[in-house]
This record gives sequence, C-alpha cells and structure tokens, in this order.
Amino acid sequence: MKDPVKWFEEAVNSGKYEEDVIVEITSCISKNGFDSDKFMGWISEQLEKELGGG
Amino acid sequence: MGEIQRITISGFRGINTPPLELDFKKDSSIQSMMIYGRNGSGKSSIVDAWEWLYSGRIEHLAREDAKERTFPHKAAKEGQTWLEVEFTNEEIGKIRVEFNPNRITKPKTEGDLEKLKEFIPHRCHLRYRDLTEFVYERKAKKYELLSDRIGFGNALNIQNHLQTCAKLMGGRLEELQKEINGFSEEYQKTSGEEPKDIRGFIKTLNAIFNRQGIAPINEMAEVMTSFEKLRERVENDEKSKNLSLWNDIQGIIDRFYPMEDIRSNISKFQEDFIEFKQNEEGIAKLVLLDLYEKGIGVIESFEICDRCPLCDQPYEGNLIEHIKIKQNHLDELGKRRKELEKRRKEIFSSIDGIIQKIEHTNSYLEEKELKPPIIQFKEDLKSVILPLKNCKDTLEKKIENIDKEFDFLTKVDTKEFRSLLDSESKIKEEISRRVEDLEKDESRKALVYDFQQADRLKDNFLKWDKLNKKIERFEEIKSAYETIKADYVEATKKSVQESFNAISSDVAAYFRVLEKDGAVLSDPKIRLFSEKDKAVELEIIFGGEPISPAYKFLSESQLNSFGLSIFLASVKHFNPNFKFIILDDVINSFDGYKRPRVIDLLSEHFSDYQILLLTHDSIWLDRLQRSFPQWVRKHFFGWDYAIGPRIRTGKNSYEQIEEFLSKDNPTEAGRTFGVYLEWVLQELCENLEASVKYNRRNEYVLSELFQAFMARLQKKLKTDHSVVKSISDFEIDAGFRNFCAHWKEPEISYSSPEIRDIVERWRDIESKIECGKCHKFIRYEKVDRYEHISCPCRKLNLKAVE
Repeated sequence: MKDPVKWFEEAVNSGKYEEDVIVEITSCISKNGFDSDKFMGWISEQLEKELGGG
Repeated sequence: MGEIQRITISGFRGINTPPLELDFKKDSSIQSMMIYGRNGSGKSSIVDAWEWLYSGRIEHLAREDAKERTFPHKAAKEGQTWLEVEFTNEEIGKIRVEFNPNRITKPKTEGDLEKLKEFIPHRCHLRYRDLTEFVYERKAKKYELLSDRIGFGNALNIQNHLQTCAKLMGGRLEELQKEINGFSEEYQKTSGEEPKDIRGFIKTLNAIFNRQGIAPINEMAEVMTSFEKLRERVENDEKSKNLSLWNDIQGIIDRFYPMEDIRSNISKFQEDFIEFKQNEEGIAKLVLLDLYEKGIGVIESFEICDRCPLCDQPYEGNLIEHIKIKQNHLDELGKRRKELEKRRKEIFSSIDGIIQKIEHTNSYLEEKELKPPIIQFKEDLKSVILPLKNCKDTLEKKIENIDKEFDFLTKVDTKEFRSLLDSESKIKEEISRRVEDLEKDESRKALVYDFQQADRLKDNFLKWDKLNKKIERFEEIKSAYETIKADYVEATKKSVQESFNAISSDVAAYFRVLEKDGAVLSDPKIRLFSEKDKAVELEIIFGGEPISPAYKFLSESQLNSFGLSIFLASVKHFNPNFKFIILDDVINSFDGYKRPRVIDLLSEHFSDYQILLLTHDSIWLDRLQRSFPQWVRKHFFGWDYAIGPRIRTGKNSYEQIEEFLSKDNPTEAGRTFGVYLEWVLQELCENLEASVKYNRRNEYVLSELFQAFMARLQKKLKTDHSVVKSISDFEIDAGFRNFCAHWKEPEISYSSPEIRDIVERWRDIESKIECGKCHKFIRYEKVDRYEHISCPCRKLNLKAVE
C-alpha cells in the first residue's frame, strides 16, 4: 500500500470496478498525487461524447 | 557499529567559527557521543543543523516565524555557514550543505542527499518539545504525522486529492441540478406539472394539438412534424403571425426595462477623478504604500531594525519609524484612491449590466421583422453599445492607470442613451395597443397562445430531458468513483494499521521498561478510528480497562514515555539500515527517578545503535558514563558570542574530583564528591530495599543514607564478608564521619590528602559492588526463596562469593 500506483493497477485488473472510471482514475495518479482537474475534464468529455452538448 | 564518523558545523545558529567538530572516533572505532552542557550552551544548534541537512528546514523555528534568514550565526560571513557530515556508509559518503544567501531556502549541497533520505525515511532526531507536541496533537494531525513518517505520505496525499475531487463532483452536480430546475420550473409554468418523461410531455402537447385540430402524436420523432403544422397555421395568417411577433417583443421589452440611469454617478465620478489626477507626483508614489506595508512586516518578523531589507545597507535609527513617517505622508491620498477605486468598480459593474442587457435584447430582436417604434429602439441600442464598451474597458484599469483626459460622461450621456431611457413608456404602450388590437379575434388569440405554449413546452422539455440524462450519467460515474475511493481509503487504513501494529509490540516493550512500576498500566497501542478516514489516538489499558485517548488518565511523564516509545520503535522499524539516533534533552521530560530507565532502555534495546545524546542534567550524565564508558564525552562548559560553545572533554565526577585535587582545591573536590556520593547511596538504598530514616521533607543526609546502606548489607551478608568489613571500616573512619557531618559547610576546611583518602577508600568499595560487565550496582532480589545480592546480569553475586 505504500505504493498507491500498484493498488490502482491491481484494481484495474480486478474487474471489480466500472472499467472506464477505474482506468481513468489510474491514469490521473502520479507521484504528485491525483490530478483532479484531469479527471473532471474527462467527465465533461464523457458527457459531451455520450449525450452531446448543451 | 556507527553510521557517522564526524559532524562539523560552522557559523550556524549558536555556533560560529572556528567550526565545531564532533568526532565520533575513539580508539579506532566509531562510538556514540554524550554532550553535557547547561541550557544556552549551544547544544540544540547541533540538532537544528542536523534537521536542516535532513529536511532543508527547521520545523520548530518555522513555527515561530524564524525562518532561513535566522540560520547563520550573527557574526558569520558569507560562505561561513555550513554543515558537513561524514558517514561511514560509502554509498552516502560525505554530505555538505552551505547556506545560500541568494536563495535562502535552497542551500548549496555537495554529496548525495537523496541517498541519505533513502537510508533515513523516518526522522531520527527527537527533541524534548517534540515529545510533548506529538502527545497532545489532534487526532487527525497525529494520524498524518505518524503515517507520513512511516512512509504513507503519497498514499495519504492521493487520499486527500480523491476527497477534494469528490467535493468538486458534488459541486458540479449541484450546478447541473440548479440548471435543470430552471427548465423544470419553466415547463411547469406552461403545463402545470413537472416534467417526468416523454409520455407525460406528449400527453400535454397532444392537448394543445387537439385544440387546434392537429392529429395526436405517439412518439418523440413526431413532435417536430406536428409542431411545424401549428407554426404554419400561425405563419399563414398575417395577423396571427403579427400577434405572435408582438407577444415575443413584449416579453423582450419587459426583460430589458427598467434601465439604470448612470449619468449622475458618472458625472460625480468624473469630477473627483479629474481632481485626484491633478496630484501626479503623489499618485506616482502610491505604489510605495504596498512596499512600505510589506517592508514593515518583514522587518518586524526578522527583527532587523539596523539594516534596510531592500538595499542591505546599514541604517542608523529606527527603521520601522522611518518607514511609518513616509507611509503617513501618502495615507490621505491613499484613502482617496481607495474610495475612488470603490466607485470605479461600482460603475464598472453597472455599465457591464447594461451592456449584457443590450446584447441579450439585440440577439432576440435579430432576424425579426420589426416595426416602429422598435426599429428606432434597436438603432439606439446599436449606437450606445460601442461608447459603453469603451467606458467599460477603461474602467477595468486601476485609477492611477486611467488616462486623465478620458471623458466618461460624453460616452454615456448621448442622445441615443437618453432616448432609450425616455422611450420606455411610449414603447410599452405601443406594444400593448398592437397586442390588444390583434387579440380582438378570439380564435386568433387562442391559436397564437397555443403555438407559444407548445413552443415553450417543447423547448424546455428537450433541454430538461438532455440535462437529465447528463445528470444520470454523472451520478453513475460519481457512484463508481465513490466506491473506488472508499475501497482505496479502506486499503490505506488497513496498511497504516498494519504498520502501527508492527511497531506496537516494540512500543509496549519500551513502555514497560520506562514505566516498570506502573502496575495498573499496560499494553499501550496506537489505535486507528475505523469510523473516520483519518484519526488516530493513543490507547492504554488502565486498571484492566482500555482508555482512549490515553491522556485522560496518564501523567505528563507517562505520556512522554508513550511518545518516546513510539519514536524509538518507529526509528527501529522504519530506518532498518541507518542505526543512528539523536536525543536532545529528552530525559528532561521524565521524573528524576525515571531518568535512569532511559539508560536501561538504550542499553537493552539499542546497544547496536550509534546515539548522539545531549543533556543538561549532570547527575544523569554520571550515570550515563558509568553505563556506557566507551562513549565519546563532551562538555560544553560555556558559550561565547564570537566562538559559540566552549568545549572540553566531558569528565565524570571522579575525573572532576581528581582535577580539583591536582589543583589543590579540596573544597570543590569535597563538594563534588558529596553530591556524587549522595546520588550513589540513594540508588544503592533503593536497589537493596534498605530502610532509611523517614523525614517529612523527603530529604536524606549522607550519614542516614550510608547507615541504611551498611545496615542492609550487614543484615543480608555475613559480618565478616569482605565487602561488609570494608564498609564498616570506612564508616568508623574519623575522616569520613567528619566529612559526612560537614561537607556542605564551606567554612570547614579539609586538606586535599584528606579528601583523596576518603574518595579512594570509597572507590575501593564501589569497585566491589559494581559489575564490570553490565556496569550496574548490586541489588537485592528474592527468587524462589533464594536471596540475591547481585547485579542485574548476575556476574557479580556477593552471596555466591560468600
């Protein structure tokens, strides 16, 4: 657990979580922590892509 | 054994030049070191220097706002403030950090500091104040401190960021909810009920279509076709089309008016602005106001009243007062600027509001077939917008940056602006007249009404429906996110608890050594609160019951035992490859009788560690020297501004007595021996469970202690035992009796040979009751009905000798 990246990688492979969400969270993890702005940006993109603008 | 060969410190805090050198080498091996010195002798500068090397900052100074500028010794010149540590581990080698006056937070570093941090993930220095602070810290802070120090820094950082992101998601959802509520309300105004689903929407729309003779629909795909049929009916009838248009325009005009008349405010602002701008010289100096304010703050925090912080030149006089005088000169002008700035922002906001209304109205009127008086109204809108925008752009600047020639009033007080203000009632009346006229035909009125109703229903429902789907998807993502976050937090907590458990057995073992007479206390633990994300508390079994937080029932000294145990257990577990500890006056936090137990703890559990121990307790030092005779000893016997600590080799009591006697100073030698003997006899009486004559003051004179000690040994050993005989002979000696009675009276004089004789005879006795292996005195113990008068390791056993 002292290596959080490893925990998230294992979480991706576990199949326990909604895949696109856990994959995106993992991509936002680095040694500087979790990039909230990047994740929020991804949510906006998803909503636009799936449901269109407005 | 031994991680550090030498520490050299120059020009740092209380240490000046020549550099202070702490050489840990003794008889060709690396040893631990004890430094004795009274408070203020410069000991803590050594720990500060170590912390500077290890973390780049000194936490306790930073909290007092004494930051990097205070690190160099006052008299140290540039390049003279540095620290050099020579490590025995070749992978680390030698590391040197030098204070960098140009970048005070980035010292110049030579050597592999990163490698050092790899070897020391957990801080290995402890001050007296650290103990008390940790023990009384809040639960969440304790958790962060402990977790960070045991290597969970990044894991916790991610945990905090995930929490922040969850809040951001919550906030965004709230915004979307507000937005959808707006569409829902508009829909409800038209249909009388909230939007729910497509079926409900189609049902409401069919009621309108039915009134206008249009066939009902079943699916969303049919909505636009039927709606267009309705539109065609309105479009095909010129009067209906007009009624629809005038209804729309009426809505637009109702939203545009009233329009704020800003002319008088602008006129007053213009006058004051011109007057303010006349003092150009003063305005130019206003930029200094901020500088003066910040300058005073800097000077006060660094206490540097004799040197200008900007030019670094000496200043004779009170620098703060000097700056305050200059500040006062500009104060009046500063107040006027502040007031004008406030009004500038207000007018900016008003003009911005008018521009937004105009742009909004223009966009609605675009592509509509307009008739008088709306044509003129639209022309006026177009004419005023550019000058208003010009004003707005200018008002975005700060007052001192606005061109003094700029004329706000002529930009606003135009013919078109006045026309817009004056024509409100005229336009409204004209629209009402036209609408009334066109509504005279009831069937036309109903057609236009239905068309506009259907238009609004369709518009708001489609927006509501789209946003509703967005919110649903957002909530799905958020729910998945929360599940992941909760599992991650749980996994982190579990790992942290495992690490706590890993050190818990050591914490308990160390606590038992320090609190061996606390029979009601046992099993100290670091407990994680499972119901919260981040909370930790110390728990202890008190009289058979778990108590958390432990401070509810523990004395300060007991809490400090807890804190020291946690620190030492953490160092042992988390710095497995760097066996070095600095303890700065840590024993100061313990009651006198407990202080020897710190020695027991170091001796029993940290014999393979190199320790740098600083203390101002001389009696404890004697005991320390007895237990660890191989340690390097230093004595900071004074402090000098120009040099720093005055140092000599640390001497134990016998060495000090010898020094006094060699200088023929029997009074000081006798006084030193008396203090020493009192302490040794107290320990012996305690060890042997001797009965000492009671007194309310709880103070014992030398003869009482000696009598009790002798009587106990006479009782437990035979009277012809060589040790008992030596003690009895010593006791009946006239010189010793005289010494016991009068050693605290300076007017009674002894000769050096007399004191030497007494000391040597006692040393002979001491050599027979102190173990050469464990360096501890004899003690009384009864095990399985057999009585021992022996040292703890049993190598010295006086009964066995008999």
